[in-house]
Amino acid sequence: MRRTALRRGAGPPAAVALAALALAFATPRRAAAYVRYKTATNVGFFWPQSCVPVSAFPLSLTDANGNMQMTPDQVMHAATAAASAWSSAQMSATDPVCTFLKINVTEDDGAAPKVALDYTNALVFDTLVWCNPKKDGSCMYPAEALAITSVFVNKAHGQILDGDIEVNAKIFNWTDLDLPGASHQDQDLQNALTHEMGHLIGLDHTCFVPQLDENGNPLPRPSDNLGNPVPDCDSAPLAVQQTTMFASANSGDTSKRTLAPDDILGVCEIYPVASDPMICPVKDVPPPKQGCALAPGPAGSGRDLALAAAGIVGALGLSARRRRRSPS
Amino acid sequence: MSFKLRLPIALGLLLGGAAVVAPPVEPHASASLVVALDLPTMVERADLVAVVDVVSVSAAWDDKHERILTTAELSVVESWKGPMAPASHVTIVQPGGQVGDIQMTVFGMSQFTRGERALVFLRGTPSDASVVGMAQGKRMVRRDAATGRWMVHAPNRQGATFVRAPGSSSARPTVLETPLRGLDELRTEVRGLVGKSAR
Repeated sequence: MRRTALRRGAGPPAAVALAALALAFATPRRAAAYVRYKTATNVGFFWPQSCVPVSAFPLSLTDANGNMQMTPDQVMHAATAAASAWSSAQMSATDPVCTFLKINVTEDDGAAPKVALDYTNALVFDTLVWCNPKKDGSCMYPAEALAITSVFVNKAHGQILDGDIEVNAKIFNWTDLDLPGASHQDQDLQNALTHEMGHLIGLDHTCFVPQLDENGNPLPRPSDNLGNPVPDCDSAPLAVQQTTMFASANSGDTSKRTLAPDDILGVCEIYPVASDPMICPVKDVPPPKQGCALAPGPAGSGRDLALAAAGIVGALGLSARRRRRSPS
Repeated sequence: MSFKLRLPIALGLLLGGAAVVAPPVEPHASASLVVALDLPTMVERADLVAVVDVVSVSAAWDDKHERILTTAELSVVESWKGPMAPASHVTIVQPGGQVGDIQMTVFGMSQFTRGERALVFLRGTPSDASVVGMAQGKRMVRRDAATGRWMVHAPNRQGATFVRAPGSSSARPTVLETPLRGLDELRTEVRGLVGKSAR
């Protein structure tokens, strides 16, 4: 099921409208493309392992009265479905899964951890307090944020070390919009988590808002995997607007639950089946260093080939990686 | 304007025989989810609104070596709301930053650069402030080379996905949708809003 969920969520009239719009704005078919987060040194973020363990803490959705907006089962369903969207990506319905990456969500009934470089990728709900306190107890999170994702990266080679997703359940209500009677005033958890997990695995938004730097000069426009400039969010093609990693959302939206071809290409080129490093860490274990992850011959070279072919890693980063793998 | 809200309009245009209109897209950029706010709401939620110069920016691990925190020291140029005199200082501490080889990215947080001038919407006190609405609460201020006018630029929206909440479909644009404003014009509007809320 790909975009069918979008259609279903939007309802039949919306489906007709979407089809009409697609016809009206039909343009020559564009190649699917994706955008990666990059370090300041222009190296794409990536996980150097087969599995990204995510510990979900559904009980953190319990409010002061002991009530929960969603049951733990509903939370886990949303989280695992979001993870599965990425882990089971297929280029087409008849193709095999094209990525080795598995986002493994496990339920943890313990106390929800704070955002920290602790090598536990946590999905937590901040229900009693939305804060991230400073040393003096004052808060750093604004009330307007629905969810915040934090990622620790080694900027030298782009390796993601830790990523945490915090959901603001203090101020906002979360739900599964597929449930009968669910209010479209609430936020669909699976929709939000699918998008956030895209960021967690290193994907950036598929569009760009022109910005100036502190000197008043335009910030460089990112390039996609094909080396093409990322389109403006204001005028992105419809296919880009429909990606899970497009930079907009609406309350009541479920369209980001399922991946668009651009999203699928992203996860499958960054983490292709042929380059599986066959390393599946569990939580609380620091991830392997990059050299170790690339040590298996086929996996390492496959990854580098894929990255080079996609034009994702800059020449400097790639040569540095090769130097590290060369016998010295 | 949300995609769903625009659909009936677009469909109407199509059925009405309109030839070509640009596909509707929300002007949003980049990873945390944040509610898009309009200017009156920004002003209402802020304790301090001021044009500031960024004096310094520094990042360090917290005491437990768990998080990287960035501290920005700001010097007030002119205050539009709140008890800040020109040249007084404001301190912002927020998560994220870079120390050595480790970069902690907290998507959607405002980015401050030493030496820049900005319009900021802040909560808290001058000694302990935080930015309202994440990236929406900081806008670069620059003098236009051609006209000499001070202009307030669009917020840097990299790092956040902005969500239009239900019920926010009024004609009032969000801060994100007003990319470039004259400083004088914006000052008048903000001070008017401050005065209105004080009455």
